[in-house]
Amino acid sequence: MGSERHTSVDEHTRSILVPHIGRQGAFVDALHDVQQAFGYLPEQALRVLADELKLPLSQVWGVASFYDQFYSVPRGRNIVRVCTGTACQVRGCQAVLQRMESVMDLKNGETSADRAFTLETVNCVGCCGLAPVVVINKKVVPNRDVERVIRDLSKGDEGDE
Amino acid sequence: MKETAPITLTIDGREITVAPGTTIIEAAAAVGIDIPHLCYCPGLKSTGSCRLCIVEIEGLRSPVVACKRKATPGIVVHTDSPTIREARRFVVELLLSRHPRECLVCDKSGTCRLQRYAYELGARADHFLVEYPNHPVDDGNPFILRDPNYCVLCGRCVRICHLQGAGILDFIDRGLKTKVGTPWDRPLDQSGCDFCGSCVEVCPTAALIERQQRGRGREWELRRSTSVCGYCGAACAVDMHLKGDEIVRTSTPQQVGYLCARGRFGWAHLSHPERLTMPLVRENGTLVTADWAEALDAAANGLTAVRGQWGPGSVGGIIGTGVSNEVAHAFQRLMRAGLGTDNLDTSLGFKGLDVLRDIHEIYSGKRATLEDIAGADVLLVIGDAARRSPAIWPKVKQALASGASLIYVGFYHGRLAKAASVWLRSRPEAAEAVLHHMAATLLRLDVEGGRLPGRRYGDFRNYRTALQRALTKPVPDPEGPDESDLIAACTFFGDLSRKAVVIFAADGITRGTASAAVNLAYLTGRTERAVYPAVSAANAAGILTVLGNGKAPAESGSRGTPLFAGKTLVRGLYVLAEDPLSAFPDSERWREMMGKLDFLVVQDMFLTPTAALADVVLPASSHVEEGGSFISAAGQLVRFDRVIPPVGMGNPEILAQIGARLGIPRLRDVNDPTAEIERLASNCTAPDSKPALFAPSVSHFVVEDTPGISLVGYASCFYPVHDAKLRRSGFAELEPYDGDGIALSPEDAEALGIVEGVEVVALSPHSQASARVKIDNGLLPGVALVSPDAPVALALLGGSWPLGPVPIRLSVATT
Ligand code: SF4
Ligand code: SF4
Ligand code: SF4
Ligand code: FES
Ligand code: FES
Repeated sequence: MGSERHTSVDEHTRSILVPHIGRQGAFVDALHDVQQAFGYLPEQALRVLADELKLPLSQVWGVASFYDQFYSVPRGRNIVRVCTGTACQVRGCQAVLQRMESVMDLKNGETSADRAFTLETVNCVGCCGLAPVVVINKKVVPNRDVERVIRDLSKGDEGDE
Repeated sequence: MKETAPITLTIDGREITVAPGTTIIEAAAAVGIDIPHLCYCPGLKSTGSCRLCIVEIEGLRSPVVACKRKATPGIVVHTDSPTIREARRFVVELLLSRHPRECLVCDKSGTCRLQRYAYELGARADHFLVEYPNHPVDDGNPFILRDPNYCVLCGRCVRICHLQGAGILDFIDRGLKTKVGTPWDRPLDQSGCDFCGSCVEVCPTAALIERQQRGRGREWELRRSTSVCGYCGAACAVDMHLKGDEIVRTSTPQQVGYLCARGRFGWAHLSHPERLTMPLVRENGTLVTADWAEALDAAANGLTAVRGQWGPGSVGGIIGTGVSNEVAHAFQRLMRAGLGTDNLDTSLGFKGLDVLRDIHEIYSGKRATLEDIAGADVLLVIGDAARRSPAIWPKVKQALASGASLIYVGFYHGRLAKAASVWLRSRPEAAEAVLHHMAATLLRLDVEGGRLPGRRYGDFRNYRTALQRALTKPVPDPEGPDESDLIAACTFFGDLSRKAVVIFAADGITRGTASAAVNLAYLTGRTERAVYPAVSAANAAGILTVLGNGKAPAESGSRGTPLFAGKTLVRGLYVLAEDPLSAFPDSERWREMMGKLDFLVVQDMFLTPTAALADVVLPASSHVEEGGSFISAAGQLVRFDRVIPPVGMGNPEILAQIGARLGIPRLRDVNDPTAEIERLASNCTAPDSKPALFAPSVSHFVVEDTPGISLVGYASCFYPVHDAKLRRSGFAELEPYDGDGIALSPEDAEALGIVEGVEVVALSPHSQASARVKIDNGLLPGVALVSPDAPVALALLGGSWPLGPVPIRLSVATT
């Protein structure tokens, strides 16, 4: 839909795709590389990918939407996940999620404008014993520490800029 | 080694012999056993995903999928055993657990396969935990209502969209959230959907339905009758599903047939409230409703009076290019025998007449058909033919799917360019030169072998000399194809063992381009069924043939000149199914001419701007209300029946009645001039001449050095919304700029500092018009597009029809 040609995205994507052109089948690898480069799968990059690999865009999107690890919107540098698996449901994850939404001022699935954080839910991370579970950047964080960790991360993040 | 012996098997106790490769479901169907199926759809590839078609084979422990499993000799198949029924019931009950139970009000009720199998298998709806998916509904377009909540994920729509549509559907997401959707899960109207409706036709449930059908009748109330679409020269067959005399929906008579958006959804105008039902006669300056006899008298008397006063040469007629041969025949008889005039005109003068006439004279062989395109090994597509006549597109896809190579000559980076093996980039003014360069390359590559059959034609020497002379001029396009592209194209096209078809739209390219294209076919010895001259007008070939008595009409049809130029000034005019004021270039000139007429009769479905000026307005009928025949772009006589009665009297009867008043009582008999039309049609397709090459004329190469932007009338979508009938069938909603859009490349827009939606003033050598900018990523810099018959195209391209290109200047409109 984008009405301008995103020359830089186009060129960047094309260079990423060079090793994948002409290779049959494994365009999932190409998707991975594009996501590596941009942090997510920008629309224009997927259009270029479809053209370059001569695949229907619908098929590219079908695969991209199939895998959880592909993102079509920019993601935060820090990922906060609230587990909503069965055990966590039982132990009140909904309340945890609500609290996180208000603490972070984000809705489930959203990324903050400065791209510091993404808040999302996940289905059972395999530590049901600790339920309800919050995972921050792949680490399970005890409930009482969550807010502190987030505060630290946002400070550290500012420091980086 | 491939097995070729027939295979005999037993299905439900019946012995059947089938060809090898036949699936069990096909074998069963051949003897009338209908194995339940959802994802299987004859004509589409089987995926074996729904598992409803399972059957038992004696000796095998588990059931097999009948739509995938091939018949093998001696197998004994049971399609309806208790075990099988139980397994099928399980499948259906699972589907029902996620399916809204709205059969009471569902439009698909009666044809829905889920409903049918639920009933036949006695499935209980509440056997599983009921959990509706709650997907949002896509109802943002005028034609297709997409409610994924009714979807059973059979994938038929996905397959057919890729087979013959825009290829925008696929399964998206995963697990319980899986659904059929478009990239980024956007609504169809934002996803590049063609609205061909193919997906609707094959959907077994109410997940995809025709929006216009809603609440207007369910299958058991409908009767079905076959007719022909009248929106382009492809003449596709359409099945009308009728409730009473109203068209509720359409489909194709074939198993997996194709209709474009116009043929499938372009029918609501027939029952549009603005449709004229009674004649109008001008009284004291205003048009008032009159009864038929009065209006017919007025029409006949008015025309007779003009003839009496000024002589027969003062009367003229203009006829639309979508009317049947029979109506055209009656009309020309009325004008010629009844009024004694030869002043007959059509819009073809600026819509491909020259090219059609050339093809008629120069291509000695039979024309290619759509099936020839589907079966070709090499396709050479020039310009926007596949948009002007959309039925070409699925045939091109079909050919590509079986390994054909596509050479596309054009400037648009759209689906043809993307699907092409070779894209010979050419700005609109350079297409002819590119084809000549292709011819020269073919000859060069052939030097040693000397195999090209074209070399043997008597006029080859002339041709080659002229070609060489022409080619001393460079390709007038710095960004044109380079040597390696030309060689690649010639490697495909020059392979004489491959069946090739050259495709272009007669009303979309210049004469020079058309004959250069025919030359390529001839050079490579493709003298039969190798040229497909598509055309936007439904019955262009028929009108030309009938008006010209089989010969190309010498004078008729050249932009109004026979009518209004020269000494014989036309003072009485009869316009049938045409609207010069809105559909012809130079509308101001036409308005002026019409103002000077003594008498004007207009026969149309609507009170068009032209009709509003008339002295007598007669309500016209549609071809589906008459029955008759067209001559298709492939040169075939295509007959169709009347499917509904006309609103009012109908064109044939109106012409017969006026004929009777003018003293030709037998016009009605001539209304069935079957034999004569057949004779004319056969004349039209196979002229008796030898293949000959056409010396390129150097003059075509003179391209002025006009830096800047050239404007061209180009169909970049499947629906020309400026058509009065399509507009009244919902198509106006699809066009954001209402016919006044001008498409620019992002580069040009940026250079001019213009963004999407800005109003600009465009200045062409013919005229000036304001238009709104649409930025189109498919465009090469230096080219701007307008839809071929949009008002802005008629204004700016004016004298240079059909294509231009004309150089334009753009400036931002000041308000
Ligand atoms: S209408 Fe045609 S192009 Fe659009 S989704 Fe359906 S099959 Fe595809
Ligand atoms: S929308 Fe219709 S055709 Fe498409 S997968 Fe769903 S049920 Fe099948
Ligand atoms: S391709 Fe032409 S004839 Fe066929 S449905 Fe479309 S407009 Fe009608
Ligand atoms: S349910 Fe939350 S960790 Fe398993
Ligand atoms: S019809 Fe055979 S698996 Fe669906």
